[in-house]
Amino acid sequence: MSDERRDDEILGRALSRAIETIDVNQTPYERSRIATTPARRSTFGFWQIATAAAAIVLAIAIGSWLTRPTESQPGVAASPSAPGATSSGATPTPAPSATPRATTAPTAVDHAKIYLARPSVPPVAVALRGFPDTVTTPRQRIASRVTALRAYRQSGAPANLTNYLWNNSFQGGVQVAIAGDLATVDLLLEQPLVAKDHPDAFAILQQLVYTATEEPGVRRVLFTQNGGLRMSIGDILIDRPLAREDVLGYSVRGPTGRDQGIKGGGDTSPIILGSRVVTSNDGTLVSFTVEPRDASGNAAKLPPFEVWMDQGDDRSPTGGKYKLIVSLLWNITGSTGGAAHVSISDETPLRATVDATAFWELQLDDARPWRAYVSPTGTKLTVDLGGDPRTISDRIAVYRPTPSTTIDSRISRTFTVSGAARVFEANVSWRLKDASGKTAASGHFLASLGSSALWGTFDAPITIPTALQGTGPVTLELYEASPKDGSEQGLVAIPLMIR
Amino acid sequence: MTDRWREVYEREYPRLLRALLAIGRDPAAAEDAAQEAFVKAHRTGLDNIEKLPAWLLVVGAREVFRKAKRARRETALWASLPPRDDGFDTTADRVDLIAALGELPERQRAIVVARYYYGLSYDEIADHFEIKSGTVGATLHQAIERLRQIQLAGRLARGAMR
Repeated sequence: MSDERRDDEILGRALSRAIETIDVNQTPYERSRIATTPARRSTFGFWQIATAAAAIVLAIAIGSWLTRPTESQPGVAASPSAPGATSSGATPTPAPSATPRATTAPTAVDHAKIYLARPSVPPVAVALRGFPDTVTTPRQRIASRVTALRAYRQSGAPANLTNYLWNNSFQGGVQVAIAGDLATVDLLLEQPLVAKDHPDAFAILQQLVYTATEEPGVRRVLFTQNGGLRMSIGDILIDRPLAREDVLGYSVRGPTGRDQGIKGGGDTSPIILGSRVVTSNDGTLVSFTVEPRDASGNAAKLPPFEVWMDQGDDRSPTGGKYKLIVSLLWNITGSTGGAAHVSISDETPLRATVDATAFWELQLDDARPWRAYVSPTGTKLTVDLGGDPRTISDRIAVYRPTPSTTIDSRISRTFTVSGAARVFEANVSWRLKDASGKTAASGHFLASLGSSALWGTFDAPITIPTALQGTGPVTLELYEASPKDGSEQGLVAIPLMIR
Repeated sequence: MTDRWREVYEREYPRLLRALLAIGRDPAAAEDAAQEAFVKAHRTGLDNIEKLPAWLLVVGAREVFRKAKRARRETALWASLPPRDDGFDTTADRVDLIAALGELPERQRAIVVARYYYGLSYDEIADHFEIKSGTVGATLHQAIERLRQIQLAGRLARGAMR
């Protein structure tokens, strides 16, 4: 072989190896076109049978759904199974239904995830089908996730979630460097990432930052383009490393550190044998409640407790980037707590819960704002995390009405605003503004508790003034009037419709 | 019958997708072309195709070219990329090589990929890509020489940055 031929061969092989390392998102066989399109020539083959079987199953599903007892919970009847089957009825895609997910409980957080966005609220993860075999290092995994995000088709997205990146094309060239907790991700872009407006640009930023920092140990990411140039997304220019908390969309982040925690309770007299613990997560608000029980199973007063947020370690199989710790300080009789039980939930923003009887850790995706309050009877502790960013400030959280709610003033001129507040002397100020921004009504009410580390709760009636009835969009604003100078602190503004 | 296809698909699909990505550079188009190549193979029937990997590559590459022609938006971006000056070691080289490959004309890209990534012989390449067998060697050498120049330019630029 001539030198020339040999040199060519060497470069050719290097190229071959380079091609072999390209990240590809392999469509599994089940979702490939040959598996999902019935072959024209074959006789009554597997797929026809599968189609027929799917049709029968579907018919039964629809039938039973239609004939379901009317008194059953609407939330249960409308669970994804029946309507989901309808939408995939035409072309059988057997893979998703065949995924055996519920059979064994997962023992570790799954980081094969990318993030889709929602208007005005933080992004939510969707699972990838693992990584290709060639992807083994953190750098490769980050590149793989970002590439998968680009390739994720909107048609496959769960309801209410959007891949705002889908309209943008980039070549798939993703270079990643990691130093400490900082990842630098460089995208090869033919043209800058575009977005139709600022909210869309921000949604893309959220998706990119969350997806890149899904890698354990990585807390911040600097996105650059075309070999280290500053990256822009629509009207946003990225000029520094960003953590998830920078793009969450809240006006504040969750206070972190034990010294920023909340303490309360204090009744050590009852003998507590356990507690009822309920966690709910609607993808925006996580709510964790503890209700101690006495020896006869009745509700007992809360013992002293402590709640705080701390940095977590997501390199641990059951860890998140942050954790919210709830600790009850009682003298447990007859129990030493035993080994901690870990349950993996892996649903944004709650990844796992560690339960050590009187001590819980909620392993979280980020440090979104949180609050803790106690029921009027003193028997129930609630720790809430997140919520719609438009309804949350450092001292006020409004749970109802939710943004964009329509209030029919023809039925009742009064509606209830409920939520939690931590303000001076429990005094919450409010006002209703009309579409032009003019204040049409205002007032104040008291939360259950004020001037304390614990939050108070409120359920206050607000009367719609005659001038606003049937006017359309209004804004409900709540704030604390500063005891020092009357200035407005911790304002939240909730858009509503009045009919 | 289905199991055979599954086996073929799982063996050939990743390689085909990478090859088409290297040739066409657009991930969505490459995926589309790879899927289309399998559909065509499926219609033709396994027994009617002599060398399936090469067949898939040729059909897939043709599909990529067709799409690229339809939406021609070649840019000089790949050549104008500023060099990186840190931390990317061999990954940078690999990315450079693939970027350099993108500088070649489409047909040369396909032939280079067929030769070095799929390991097809000159005769097979001549056969499948409908070029004279005598010119395969020359075309390949020309393409590799160009790759070398582009890569060298990249390295020099990187060196100059330090």
